[in-house]
Amino acid sequence: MRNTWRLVYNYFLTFIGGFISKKRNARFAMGVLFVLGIATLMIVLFTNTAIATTVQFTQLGVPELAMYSNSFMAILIMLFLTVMRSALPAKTTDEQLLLSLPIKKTQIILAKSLFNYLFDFLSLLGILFPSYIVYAVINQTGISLVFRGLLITLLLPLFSNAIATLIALLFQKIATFFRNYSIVQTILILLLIGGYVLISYVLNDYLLKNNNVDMVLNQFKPMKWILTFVLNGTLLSLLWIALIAFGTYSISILLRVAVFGKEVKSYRSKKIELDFTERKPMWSLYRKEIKYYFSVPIYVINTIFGAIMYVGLSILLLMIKQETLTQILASIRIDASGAEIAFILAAGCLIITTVCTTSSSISLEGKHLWVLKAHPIKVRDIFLAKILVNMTLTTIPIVLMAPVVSIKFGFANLWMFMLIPFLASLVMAILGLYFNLLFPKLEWESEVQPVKQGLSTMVTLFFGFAFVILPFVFYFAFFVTLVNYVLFGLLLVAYFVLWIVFSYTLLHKSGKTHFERL
Amino acid sequence: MLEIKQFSKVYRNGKRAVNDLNLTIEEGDLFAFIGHNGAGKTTTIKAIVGILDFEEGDIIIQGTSVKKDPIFCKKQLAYIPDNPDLYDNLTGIQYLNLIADIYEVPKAQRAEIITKYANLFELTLELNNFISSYSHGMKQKLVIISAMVHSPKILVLDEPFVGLDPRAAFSVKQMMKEFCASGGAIFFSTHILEVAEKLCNKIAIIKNGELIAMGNMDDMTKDASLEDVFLELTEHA
Repeated sequence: MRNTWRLVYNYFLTFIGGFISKKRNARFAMGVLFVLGIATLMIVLFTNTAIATTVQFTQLGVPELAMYSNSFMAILIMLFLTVMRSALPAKTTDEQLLLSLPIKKTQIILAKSLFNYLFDFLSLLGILFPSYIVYAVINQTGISLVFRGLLITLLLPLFSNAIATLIALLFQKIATFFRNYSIVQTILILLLIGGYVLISYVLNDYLLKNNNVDMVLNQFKPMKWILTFVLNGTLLSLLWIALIAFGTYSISILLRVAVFGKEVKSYRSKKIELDFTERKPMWSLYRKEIKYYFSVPIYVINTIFGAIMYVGLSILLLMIKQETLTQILASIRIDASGAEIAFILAAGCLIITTVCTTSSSISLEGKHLWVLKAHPIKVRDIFLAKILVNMTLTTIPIVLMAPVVSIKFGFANLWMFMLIPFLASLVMAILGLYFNLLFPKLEWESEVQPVKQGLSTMVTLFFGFAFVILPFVFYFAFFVTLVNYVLFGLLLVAYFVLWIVFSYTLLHKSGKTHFERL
Repeated sequence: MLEIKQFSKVYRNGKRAVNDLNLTIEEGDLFAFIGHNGAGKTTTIKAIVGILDFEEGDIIIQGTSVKKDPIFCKKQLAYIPDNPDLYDNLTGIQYLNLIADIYEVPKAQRAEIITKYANLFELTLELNNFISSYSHGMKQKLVIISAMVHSPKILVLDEPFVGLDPRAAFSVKQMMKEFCASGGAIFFSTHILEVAEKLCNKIAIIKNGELIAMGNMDDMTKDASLEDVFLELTEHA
């Protein structure tokens, strides 16, 4: 066990070393502050949600359902994060080193797993544990409930770790069957996210419709065991939970030990003929970009939801009554004719501009940037290829959904539904690329770093929201009764075209210089 | 073919990696660039191929400054890095086609060159597999094929023999000789002095960013080995 703890300590030192070695880097310090800020925000958010849920169900006379809801949601979030981690694993570089040392495989795996456990436990401490404190305070149950809650918080990460391992092994197995495995992996992750959203929705709906505690508890035994232990201290329930947690964890450790150090099989092509098809340099670059995009699950996950939501919004608009929309607008004191069209455009633009692949596209070049720099490629072509990927993702839903929305809101407005979101998306694509050139993050170990933690991604998102919302805020605040919505549409086109000209000039001049300096 | 004039490179942290370097590589030259770790070899090579920008001095390729027309200059040469990071999500043939498309190499020509070198390096059967499944040596071979796909006039190589198996290393050496014999020029960095001594007609030794010796191999070594010359020069310079 001494070796295991030494390795855990080593991983801890490596983790801390990542901060210390970059302590002079102001941007990194900003990043650390941002992460800490997000962590604090999440704790506050989960505590507030726990308070609201507990108060609501306590008033209904079924406080147990509050604990059920909070625990279930926290476990779902935990499992979701775990699944994401197992599906998008960080690249490990110490496997061969550790195998060459006189340490047992079990000790290595246990050390890796325990280090992950610490992070999962800390996450759950912020997500789940506050709900037990809140419950104890509001219902005045005493400190023992909080301790029992802490015990559950300690046990659950063992289970989530085990699930993560099983999923990772499953993904590893699937990889041997598919040529474009990463695309399959991306689809599976999207399905998992979809499943998570669906389960959350179904659970909320179920709890709102069913106030019978016993019936709810009997629907899902593990939740019953958690609740009966935390609420009443039922030891048999604790035994079941511990059995599940330790049982699955032990199995996962054994499985990991069995595969650790073994060669990971990958798909082997049986094709012998080589395809030498000739393409224009720009088209070839675009193909490379689009292939790269779909082969990085985190890149897709972080950027595709806007496109999916855009389709969802269009279908929703087709289904809801026009009066409902008018009522929503009336509730915020907007009742001018045609205002609903402007409202739809605002929602559409806001959603579609969240699709921004360019804001991390330069960072993602990372160590292969030399390929673009050492070959005779025009910088303009590199930029255009990256912008085109973004526009492919946004133009398809825009073009498909504009006629759908027009069925309900008039084909005379089709040009607006088509043109305005397209122009807004183009501005975002260009500016995203420019911001990435300003704040590149070329050194990374996992794509998660440039895609989710890159400064350019955050700046682009913030800026995008501000620049899209601004004309609509002005319109609804001051001009909705004065300016006809068609004229507003034309003004919007002019506004976005001006931005395109400005941002493209900026990219062509300053952006090009930044690229050459990379 | 390749002329480096008063080239200096100062990094943003103030470190002067290369100072006032002057070199000329002519047609048919097989030019070795040697020096200890951190001497400035890779910095010079990266500046030649357009990866690294620089303010002081100039680099002229086929009569054109890399600062004035980088695209033209890049079309004249090919670069092979020591540790090639490639697009793992592409297959070998997809990567080769990307490079061939960038150089606008016609289909028939690329098919001929790729087939020739893929067979030479025994990589043909791997070209339909993803680069992520390649070993370091296989990646190195792939980059060498991609470097030859547009029939460049100058080859710039950074430690080309790292990771290559003996057969592939032999093939690369043969390829380098043939390339120079047919009128091309090669500028490469290496730590393997025996290879440089046997292969090259010209040599330059760099230490702490300063050129300390340059000339024909025969004139430089005379009766001594290149290793002795290198050790003596770098010790006393």
